[in-house]
Amino acid sequence: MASKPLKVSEVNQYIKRLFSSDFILSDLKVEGEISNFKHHYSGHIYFTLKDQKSKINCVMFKSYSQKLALNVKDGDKVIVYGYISLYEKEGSYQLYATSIEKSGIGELYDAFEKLKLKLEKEGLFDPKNKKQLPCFPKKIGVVTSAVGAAVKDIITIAKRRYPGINILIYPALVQGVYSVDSICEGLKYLDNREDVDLIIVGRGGGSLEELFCFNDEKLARTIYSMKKPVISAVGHETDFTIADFVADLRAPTPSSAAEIVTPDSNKLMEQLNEKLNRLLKAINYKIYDNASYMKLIYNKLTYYNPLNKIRDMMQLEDNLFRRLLLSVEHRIKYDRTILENLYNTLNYLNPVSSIGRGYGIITDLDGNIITSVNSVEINKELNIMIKDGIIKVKVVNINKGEFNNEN
Amino acid sequence: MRIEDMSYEEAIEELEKIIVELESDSLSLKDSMEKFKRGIALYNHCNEILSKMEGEVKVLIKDDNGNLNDEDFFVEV
Repeated sequence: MASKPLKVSEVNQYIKRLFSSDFILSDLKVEGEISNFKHHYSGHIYFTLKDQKSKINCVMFKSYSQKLALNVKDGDKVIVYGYISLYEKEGSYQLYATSIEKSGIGELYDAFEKLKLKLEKEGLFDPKNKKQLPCFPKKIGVVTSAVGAAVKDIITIAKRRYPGINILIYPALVQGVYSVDSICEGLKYLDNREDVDLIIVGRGGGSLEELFCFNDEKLARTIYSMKKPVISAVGHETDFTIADFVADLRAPTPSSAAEIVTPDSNKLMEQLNEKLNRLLKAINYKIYDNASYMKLIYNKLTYYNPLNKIRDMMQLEDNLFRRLLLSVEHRIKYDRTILENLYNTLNYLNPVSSIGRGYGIITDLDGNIITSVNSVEINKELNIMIKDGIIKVKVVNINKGEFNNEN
Repeated sequence: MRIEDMSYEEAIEELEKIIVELESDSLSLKDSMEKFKRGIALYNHCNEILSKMEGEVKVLIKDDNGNLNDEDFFVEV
């Protein structure tokens, strides 16, 4: 089916739409050499970018060319940032430049190195001048663009880590000719606010030119003169600016600046709970300690209970009594033996017992025992005691001399 | 100082001090129990601060006279 023919302008509009919806063409950087450089009285810039094989027409509108911090001339090797679009009137496509930077080691880099060296010599980067960040900031000041990813990242991350944080944003221009003054004003304003504890200054990533206000000497000196700690957070991790060197701390990105300045509430909660555990442990130990001390005292009390002593003494007494009894019994037994022996001996020596065997005892009438012939005379009356009585006799004869058994 | 009036830092500092005292074993049992009670109160205070506190996000806006005012800042997150 044949479609209706299009008008020329419709074709060009369509192509323009295609360009603007293209992922690459809508945002790109192109490297090349400048030629046919023209600064039009309207403020726009026209030039051609070429390499050895081909070329492309470029235009930079006044709004961008005003911010261009670089003198560009024919023959310069540059990188042009921008997008490809169609000039509908001519039906020709062009590169619409938004910024230009020198490729290789350019002027910006030279200026950067020079300023860095100068400020370093003056001591603006000296670590001993760097201020300590507060552990628990109540309010953080942020000098950055109120639109864009940087401010969003800072708020999101700070809030996520520490919901109690207060944030005060000073909306500043972060690129272009007014940016330095705008950022410096913001820094000074927040430095004089009583309620702000520290300040983050920065912006999201961009071209070297876009970040260039952070390489400004005035900004560097403003940061250096601040009473409050300043954290720089410019661009990406690989971007280093003069502001980074002067700031009390350099954060690689705005997100990480937010991370650095806010305590992690989860971690704080962990630490707090750890403290609770220590508290409980200490009191438990204390109670246990006292309880075991009590137990010790109880054991000692039991050990030294006088009842035990009394029991011991009673036992000792019992023992003594038993020993006493034993020794007395022994003694009695011993004495009895001796007595028996004595009795036997005595019995053996008893003259009366001899009488039983046929002996007799001779006494005078007064009872004196006669043991010699010299104590008697004829007709003296004597008594003879024998076993079963007394015989009264009269001496009839006396023979002096030894008693002779054979006689 | 009343615990309700304490900042997080003040409360956490006193809590740490109490713990060290309790751990050092130099207190009587009665004093220990008193300190312990205060320690728990401090813990609860800190816990409340951490879990309930909600900070504000403000942006400075210039009014017609050129004065800067704090105004609520809304951001889609």
